Amino acid sequence: MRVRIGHERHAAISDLLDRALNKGVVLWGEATISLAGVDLIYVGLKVLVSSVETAQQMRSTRASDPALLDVRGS
Amino acid sequence: MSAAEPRIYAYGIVHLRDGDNLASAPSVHGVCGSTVRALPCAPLAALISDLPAQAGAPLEEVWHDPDRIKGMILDHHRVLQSVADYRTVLPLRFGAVFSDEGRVATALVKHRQALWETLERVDGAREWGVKIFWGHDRLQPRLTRDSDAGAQTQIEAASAGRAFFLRRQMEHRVGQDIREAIIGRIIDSRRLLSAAARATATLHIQPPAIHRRADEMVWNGAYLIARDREDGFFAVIDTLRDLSRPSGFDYELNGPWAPCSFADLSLGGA
Repeated sequence: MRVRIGHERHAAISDLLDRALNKGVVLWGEATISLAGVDLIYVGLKVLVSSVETAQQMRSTRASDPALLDVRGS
Repeated sequence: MSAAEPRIYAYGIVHLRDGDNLASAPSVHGVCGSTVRALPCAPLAALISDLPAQAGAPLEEVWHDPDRIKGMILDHHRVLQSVADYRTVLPLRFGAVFSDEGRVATALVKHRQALWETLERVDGAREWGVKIFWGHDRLQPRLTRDSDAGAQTQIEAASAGRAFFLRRQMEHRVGQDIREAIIGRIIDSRRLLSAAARATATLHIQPPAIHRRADEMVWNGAYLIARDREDGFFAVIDTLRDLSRPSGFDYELNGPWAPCSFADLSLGGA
């Protein structure tokens, strides 16, 4: 699955997940107690698997350009 | 924590400068359709939004639902991207949730120095990703052909046992040449790309199931590029692409990103 993030430059959702879940400043609030026990890498893998499966399903139905998902617009 | 309690989701940290109009924070919506706002805490400001209750569902349930969490990750990404379009933002890792604004402000005060210094390092720059791919079909036949020149004659003249040994020896040599060619290309590329960047970071090589290309990913890196030097960085990639294409190498550029790979800080909360 690919995500359009700029003119003629594409990043896969895996790149986006890597940055959102594995990079960036970790500033845990006390309320992140909600996240206790949740492995973000596991969350990312589940999202990725779900995205890849979705892309494969869409490809198999020959949808036009199924893998593109514009994340710049709201 | 019950779903009814107020919760604040934090996206990133920006400089709070004189004359800043932070009231007009990002035009895109935040997680779950929320409105993003700035929480000033001089000399910094946090970009935050409410974290709406998910139709009464406990947050723990949301974290385990791939579809809902994917939506939230994309929301988080959109907010950072929309801010990074016009100013420097220090991205927070996905999932920074606070019980109220006061706790966010306390965390900013507590870690002001570290956050400020990191923000200064990435100020005026954006992150770009570069992946190098290698296609077996170009480099391998060329090296095999070059090795073949003398070895093939020897193999044909040798006994069956010796021919087998010579063939294995030739394959080993070609494999070694390929590895050396790939390593050399990566070293040269990193040197040229780094020279055009303020900072670099190494990312994980992705398997074919993820990058979905026929060729092999041999390098994955992130580069912090000052906005006014981006054209120079792109020119380096164009040059590398032209030089390396005949050998089967390709360069894939992705971005721009908020400087996620250069915001390596782990800080406690309030």
